[in-house]
Amino acid sequence: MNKIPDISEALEVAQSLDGGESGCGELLLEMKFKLRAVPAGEILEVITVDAGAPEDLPAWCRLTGNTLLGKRNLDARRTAYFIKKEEH
Amino acid sequence: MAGKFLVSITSAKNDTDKATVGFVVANAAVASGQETVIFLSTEGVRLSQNGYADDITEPGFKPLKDLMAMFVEGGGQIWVCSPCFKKRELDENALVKDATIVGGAKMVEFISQGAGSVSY
Repeated sequence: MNKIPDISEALEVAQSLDGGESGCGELLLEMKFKLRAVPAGEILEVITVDAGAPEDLPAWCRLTGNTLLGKRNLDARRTAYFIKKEEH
Repeated sequence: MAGKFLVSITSAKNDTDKATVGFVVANAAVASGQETVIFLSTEGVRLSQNGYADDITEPGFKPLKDLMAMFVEGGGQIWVCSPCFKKRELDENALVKDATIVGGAKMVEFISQGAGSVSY
């Protein structure tokens, strides 16, 4: 199990994606498309209820060379993940 | 860390669950920066026809036609097994966007170059 840091402080995000009920490849492709509008060095927020996200999003960041800064639980179901887009 | 990844899909309306999940996993691969190919063979080749997937929506998933469009938009390639296509007398002029009819050597070449693969 990956330990994703909890982030309590406010972060300035360049783009936000509400993934709704999407998970796995559906969510990841939406993230890929959304990330196109994020300048390098800035942050994409991804909100999801997907139970696979705590494992999937760290793996996606490793594969794509971006940085998962951390997460924030929004309520009982929804979690926000903060991804910093790196220079490639 | 770009690599090669192949998803083999052998089902269409005979097993819409497998057809759908195959595309979802392929979308995960293409979203993760992998050079991704979907290889449609046996019954799966029916998915290569325009309009065929329009009425396939598995509970809990996006409509299959949307998953297919997202895959191509993300840079994925769809390869269609030539003899499987021929056997079913499908229409070469009705291929979905960016689908290519290929022979087995094309898939063998791709996998032999180090592609990982998964089958549905």
